[in-house]
Amino acid sequence: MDVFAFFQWLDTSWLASISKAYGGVFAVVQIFHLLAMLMLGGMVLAGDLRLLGVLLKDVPSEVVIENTQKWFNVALVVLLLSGIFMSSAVAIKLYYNSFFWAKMASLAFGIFFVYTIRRPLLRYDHSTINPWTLRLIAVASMTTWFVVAASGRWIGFS
Amino acid sequence: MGQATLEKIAAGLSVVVIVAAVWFYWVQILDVLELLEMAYG
Repeated sequence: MDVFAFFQWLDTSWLASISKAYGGVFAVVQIFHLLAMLMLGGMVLAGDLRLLGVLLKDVPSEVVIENTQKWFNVALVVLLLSGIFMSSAVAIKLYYNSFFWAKMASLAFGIFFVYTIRRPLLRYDHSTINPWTLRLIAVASMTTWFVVAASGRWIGFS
Repeated sequence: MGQATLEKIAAGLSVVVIVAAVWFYWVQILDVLELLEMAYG
């Protein structure tokens, strides 16, 4: 499917009709987007800083990762749904914004990294994993989600 | 995929991510410095 055609469709969809016409609805959805971003960032930081041995040292890292992953999943779903709704209000503008694509690329990579690399590896007993690999995963994970957030914020200034 | 293979992929990919992010922000910083130089000499 042509990517621009998708954005054109989004721009004229029923979602866009709501997001463009009702500022209050947009604001409420944006609040959920921001709250989910806080939650996702918090879960990433808690899990990765535990892997780095900075936080929650008295709790096994397996427990921290398992619990943060659950809420990470919830936050990601809310972010994606609210993000699609918010994008519909300015779909064509976003299509021509390079930082929007930087955000989408880093988001796609972040999702790939979490669900195909980080999560499967961290299901093993952490004491059997090379400590440097754990540290690298933690730094790469925080870096990726930082880039997602920073690129998202950058959209507004570019 | 076994743990050993996954570990190697994870470590390699993590290094690539960190290097790419540092490069990305370094380019942005250079852009800002160039703008500042243009504005203030």
